[in-house]
Amino acid sequence: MHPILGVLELGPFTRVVPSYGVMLSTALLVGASLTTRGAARAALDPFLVIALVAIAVGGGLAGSYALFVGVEWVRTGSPMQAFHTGGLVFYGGLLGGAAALAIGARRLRVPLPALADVAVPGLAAAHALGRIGCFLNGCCYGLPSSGWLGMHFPGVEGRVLPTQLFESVGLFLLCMVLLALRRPLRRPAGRLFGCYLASYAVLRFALEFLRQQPMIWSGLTLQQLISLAMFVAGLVFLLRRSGEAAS
Amino acid sequence: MGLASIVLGVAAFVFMLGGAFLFWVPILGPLLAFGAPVLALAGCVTGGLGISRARQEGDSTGPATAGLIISIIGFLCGLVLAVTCGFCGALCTAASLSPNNRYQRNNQGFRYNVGWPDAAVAPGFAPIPGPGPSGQSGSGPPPAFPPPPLQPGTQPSTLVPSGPAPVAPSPDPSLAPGLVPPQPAPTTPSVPSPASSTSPVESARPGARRAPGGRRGSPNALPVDQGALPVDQGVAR
Repeated sequence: MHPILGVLELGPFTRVVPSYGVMLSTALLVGASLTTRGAARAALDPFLVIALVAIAVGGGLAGSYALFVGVEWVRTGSPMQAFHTGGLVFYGGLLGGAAALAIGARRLRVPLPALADVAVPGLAAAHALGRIGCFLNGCCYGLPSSGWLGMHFPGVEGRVLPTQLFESVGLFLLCMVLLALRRPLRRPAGRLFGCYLASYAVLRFALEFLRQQPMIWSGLTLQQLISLAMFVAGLVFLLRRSGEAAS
Repeated sequence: MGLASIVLGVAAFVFMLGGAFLFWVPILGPLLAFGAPVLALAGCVTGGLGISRARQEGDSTGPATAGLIISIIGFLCGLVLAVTCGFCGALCTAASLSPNNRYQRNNQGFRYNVGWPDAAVAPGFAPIPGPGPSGQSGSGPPPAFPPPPLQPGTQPSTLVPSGPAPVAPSPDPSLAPGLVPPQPAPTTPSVPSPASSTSPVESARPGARRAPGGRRGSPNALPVDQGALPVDQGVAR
């Protein structure tokens, strides 16, 4: 863990540079560049895609913070607690970013399935880097563990599982798989997106068993319930597009 | 589009500087800090659209490219700033507007003075709820053990009100383990002299001196004068 990357001194003022913020910026930069490079290969206007990525990032950040405030509001009974701690929830970002991307693509007349296919490898890579930021920040850790995988986190008694690193490794692998499947699943557009939805849902559903999250229904956490819905949506998307390809 | 992108990118940098130095101002600080990446994102959108349209129409893409680059840099730096100064400013705003912070609620003249938002809960300053015997809002319930009488000219030396002196476990076998024999009734309480009316907190913090206007030199001591410490209101005033 290395929450503070450094200290920036501006005359009499000093500002800390947090590792999480730097990793978040790096993640968005890497994800946007991967998406733009993919857009050029998919015969989409890369500058239009840059504009759409910016719209999606704005919607994603807003959605992730909104879901974090909502979760904290439900958990503590007051939205003010969310301002005291601060945080982001990925699924909120995914929903907000997808909604913003859909609206932007409709306005700019960019085919949404092709755009989604182009965006998912970059999204997985950005998410993997963001989880490394979580690890450096010391948040999103897992259950207590006395095994060799357990690690000490600041403010936590005993050793806990570094689930951020597990998820990061899984997302890097998923990014590689998506990049490899980009050509075979090129037509019809949208199958790569369905593949990402289903794969990440499985990964997150499994990892949630190793994390300390409140169970809200039938022993499942909120993220697991969203993962179930996302898995079904991804499978339907994949099968329907595959059916169109076969016909 | 290109010009708009440049303007938005520069505005993002201005917001970023404002958020970095004014993060402690409630509402304005987080507005500036969180507004910087939003403006930069808007600059990225207009820059990308500007380049795309300029290429379609055969115009120069220079201004839009400049605006896009400024906006991307502004977004990356603004995001780091939002994670630090933005969340810190949100914390200051939440602390200043929190209805359960008695210091902020009582201190009407300095409602947005959030330089020390948690001074009222600093160690040794835990607020005691409820009206006291004197009817003042800062007074709390009487202590469990009455303080021992002080001899004139002596100073209390501990922070915690001292009760009866610790008694060694009773050798009396008729008492259950852990019980002590009943203590004799306390003597008639004597009125402490003016020299001994200093609150235990003050005596425990010799560096905290009272300014001529009733305030202390240290800003951490502000809640004492605002009624967070019953001893100060009921005795010293």
